[in-house]
Amino acid sequence: MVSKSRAVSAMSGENPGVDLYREALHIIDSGTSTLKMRDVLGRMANLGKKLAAKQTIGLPQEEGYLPRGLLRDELGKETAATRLVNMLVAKMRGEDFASEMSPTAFAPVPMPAAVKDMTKAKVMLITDGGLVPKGNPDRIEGTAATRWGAYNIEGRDHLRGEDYEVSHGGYDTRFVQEDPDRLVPLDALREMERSGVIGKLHDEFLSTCGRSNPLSNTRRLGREMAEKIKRDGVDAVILTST
Amino acid sequence: MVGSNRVVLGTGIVHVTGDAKLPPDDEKQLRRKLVQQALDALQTNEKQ
Repeated sequence: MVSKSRAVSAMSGENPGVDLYREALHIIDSGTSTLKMRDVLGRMANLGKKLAAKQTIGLPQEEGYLPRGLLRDELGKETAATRLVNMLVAKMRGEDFASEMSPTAFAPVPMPAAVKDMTKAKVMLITDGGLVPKGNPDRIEGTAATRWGAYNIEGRDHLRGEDYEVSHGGYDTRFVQEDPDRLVPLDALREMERSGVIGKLHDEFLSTCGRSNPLSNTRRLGREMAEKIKRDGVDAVILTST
Repeated sequence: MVGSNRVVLGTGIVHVTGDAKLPPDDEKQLRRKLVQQALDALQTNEKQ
């Protein structure tokens, strides 16, 4: 991904803005102390000059910006096999080595407390399998979706294939197209609502597409859905995922 | 999170809460079972 941005910013690594915008522009690592401000401003100016002159920007550790999660192809002196074995040997010896790709770290999310009485609970269905009404009115993308939708299921006992389509490029969708309950189990939940196993099924199910979706999208999508869940007084969510 | 007791294993990617190989009534039974597992998980606190 080529950055067309000519802006340079500086943030501390844990600033939420970093996750949101690291791909969009270069963000100098400003650390957590204002004592370093002169140094940080100097790095910003240097990077800004390079960007203005359309020079090649070096690696994060060279220029002082936070890793952007972008991969750039380079011709190396050693084959991948050699580099890998060297890394493994170094690791086994307890020596320093630099991984070429760092896995994304997720801060652990505490599990919400269990629902005390499901017979009184308001339950909502959510899916990341890309089920949308025919015509995909909210134009939810089948890859790297930037949008989610809330779709009315009031009075419906089950989902009919003719009313829906699937916007998801990552799996064979014909079984879900035939019977969308195979992804969003409305029929089962409606029965459970009638028999009193659950208190109430929310009148809408939420949907988006989880395929190849960068965290910068999915963190926002999740946050927005969570806000709706809270606003609508939902007690429990069943999220089906492909 | 993998290993969490609030993640219920569905019947494969292409029919998470179903199974196209089963006759319709059996498929519905399977779906009810999976959904009940999910509801049970929601009523269970994190295992220590």
